[in-house]
Amino acid sequence: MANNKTFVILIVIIGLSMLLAILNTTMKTASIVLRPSELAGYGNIKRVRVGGKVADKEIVFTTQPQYELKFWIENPSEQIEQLYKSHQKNTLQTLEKKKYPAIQVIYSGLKPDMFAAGRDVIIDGDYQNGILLAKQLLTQCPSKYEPPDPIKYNKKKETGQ
Amino acid sequence: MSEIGFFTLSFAWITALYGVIVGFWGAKKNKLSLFLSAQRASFAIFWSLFAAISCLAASFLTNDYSNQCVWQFSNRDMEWYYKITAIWGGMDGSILLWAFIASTLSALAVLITKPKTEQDLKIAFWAAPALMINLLFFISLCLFITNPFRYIRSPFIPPDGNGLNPLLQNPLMAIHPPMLYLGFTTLAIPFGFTLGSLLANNYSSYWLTRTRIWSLLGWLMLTIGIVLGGLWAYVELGWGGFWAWDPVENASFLPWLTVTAYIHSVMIEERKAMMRRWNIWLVILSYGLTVFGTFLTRSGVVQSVHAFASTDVGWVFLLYLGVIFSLCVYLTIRNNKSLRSTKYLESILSRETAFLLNNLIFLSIMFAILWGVLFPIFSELVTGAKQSIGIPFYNAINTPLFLALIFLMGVGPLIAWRKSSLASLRKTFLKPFSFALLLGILLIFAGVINFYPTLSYSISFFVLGTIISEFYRGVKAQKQLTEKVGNIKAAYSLFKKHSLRYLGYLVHFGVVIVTVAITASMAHKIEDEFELTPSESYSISKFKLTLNEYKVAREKNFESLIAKVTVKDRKTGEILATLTPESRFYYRNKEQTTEVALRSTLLQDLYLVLAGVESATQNNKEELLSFKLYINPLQIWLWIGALIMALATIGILVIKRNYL
Repeated sequence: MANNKTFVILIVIIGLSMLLAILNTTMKTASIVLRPSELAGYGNIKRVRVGGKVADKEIVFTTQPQYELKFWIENPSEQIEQLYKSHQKNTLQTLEKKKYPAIQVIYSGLKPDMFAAGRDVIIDGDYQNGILLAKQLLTQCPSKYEPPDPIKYNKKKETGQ
Repeated sequence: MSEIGFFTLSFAWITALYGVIVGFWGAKKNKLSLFLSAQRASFAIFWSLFAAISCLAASFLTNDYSNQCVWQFSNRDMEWYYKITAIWGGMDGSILLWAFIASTLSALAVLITKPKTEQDLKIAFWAAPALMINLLFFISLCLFITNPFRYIRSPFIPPDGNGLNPLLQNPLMAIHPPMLYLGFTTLAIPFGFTLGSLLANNYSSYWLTRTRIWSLLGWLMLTIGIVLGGLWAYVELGWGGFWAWDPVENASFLPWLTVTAYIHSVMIEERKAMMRRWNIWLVILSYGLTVFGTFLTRSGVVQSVHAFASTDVGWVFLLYLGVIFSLCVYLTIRNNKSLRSTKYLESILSRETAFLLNNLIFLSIMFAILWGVLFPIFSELVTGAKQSIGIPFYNAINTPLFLALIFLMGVGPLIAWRKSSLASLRKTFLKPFSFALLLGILLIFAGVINFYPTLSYSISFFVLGTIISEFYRGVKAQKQLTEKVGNIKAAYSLFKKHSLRYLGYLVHFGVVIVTVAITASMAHKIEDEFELTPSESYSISKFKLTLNEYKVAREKNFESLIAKVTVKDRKTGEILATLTPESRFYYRNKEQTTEVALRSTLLQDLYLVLAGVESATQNNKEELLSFKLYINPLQIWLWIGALIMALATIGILVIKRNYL
């Protein structure tokens, strides 16, 4: 029975040290999660994670002097729609331009597969002087990619877009 | 087809509901006829879900684009086998597959686990409806929320479908998800038996052996599923890695950790009737984590690249988990008396302690990862701002924990049960320990100076040393026992006599190999980018890569840019391999994919990606092809080690098949 006390103490010590280690590492490595529209309100941020949609703007991939991918991201479409709904009186297009500007991203690395305008991406990096410097760029896993609604899709096809 | 599918799915749901009610009623009243009826219900569920999934498969094969799911994930150009795999290409079909696999396993469990005594029968009475609860949940999900037989929301039937993403048109994708689902759903069987035991308040060896073997089976499937996922990511995605600590990868890893803890700690229970409550909760936790994993990927709660488009199914999962969890808490409190162990640990220096520590570390890793996954939600609740943690966090926390675990893997199997003395410890571990120390020092001289890699290699050598020395001792004893036999014959008869024990060692041996491979890939990976015009060369490490030529090829579904790169030995000039990395553009999806060129040897992988082409019109005179090269040392051993683990586990399962 006395032995079991020792074990309980052992468990408590291991548990507490784990807790401390976890909290400590969390403080050191945590990055703040923001939407592209929210970034504008901040100055420079170290370690930020931004989930958004690749904007339908220029996408430049250069290989000289190093691999670099430049593009813009904006809030996920579904969110933009929600934002629209809350400001229904305004005209939507001016709202988009004024209030939710896209953010430029510079990623030094290869262009991942599945990367294209309109796709969801998750970016880890630093935000400096209005530009998001991506250290890691993840595209939506292909197995989870849901294609657009058939009605819209067919309309697009008909109009040849 | 969709009508028949919908009908059979509804039938399965009604049958499951019937099975749960009748099963519990029968268990309560102790009526055999009702129990048998519940058993038959589980067969009926299997057959109707089989019919339902066949209908979905038929819709896929016959290009029935009036079905939403088929339209989304299939098209006319796809080969028939990818049309089948497209069933689990999306959320709706994948949940149906999940339910189908679960029903198959439940039916199998009911069919082959024959209770022999009155006591066993009592557990079986309760286990049958307990298993059916799991089925009922997933079938309800399938029928009411993610129905795969929905019609397309379109005024006309589209002439062609959207098609499965080209990245998923890979043979590995055909087996990785079903394997993982198989692993997840297998864990529902030990849970069912455990819930049955708790309800019956009876914990005979019938319960223990069944739970143990089904957990081991689930462990095997999960291991294979997880490794296949890593392999697919490695060969298909072109980022040179196999694991990224993504929330969804973590979700598959969490139950793996608790099951691994369980299949170790259950040995203490089997031997000493200790830790019963602990083990019961490990089984419950493992099952809970599989459901939680499904919830995580489908609720949109956590930002993940693997997450399905966010849906409102989240609360259903939470509700279910809450109900199951509260029920189990209530039952453990109710059964407190019979769950209490009568025996205690006798010494700190014992195998029990090693197992206990092993369990604590597994759970610590589990909690650390769970914390990492849920941290964004917690931080938003507490501070109002969402925060997340990524790869650096997981590596920092888990590396020391895993190394401690590997060290215990060397100690645990050799230390005596109950009580061990320092003298015997010295005798057992002196040689392996010196062996590891020596090799560790050699590694430092060879240039491996970083702390963790050196430690990791040394610990791996230590474990290897313990396995070898234990086997050697066994062979020596065997030779003394039967005189005048050769080493090989003695080793063979030893293996035959204690095959379970040595197969267990073989699993550990596989883990050691995997550890070495992961360490090598984390510590000595080389990454480089370069550009070449035809006939130009680039040298790196001991290789010289020359671009011979490149061409554009047009296929039925895609257009591809193919580069032909010759790899030569830098010193001797001997041609080692010709690599042909590709960059494909799929017309239909407007999807660009990279086809990695891979040269695997036992020493390292050359992993070449064609990044792009810069046309001649710019500042360059000739077209410039850009590449990314990864040199991954010992990569192939990761897959070999995992294969050894899987094969040895299959061996154990074959020997213990009677306990299924």
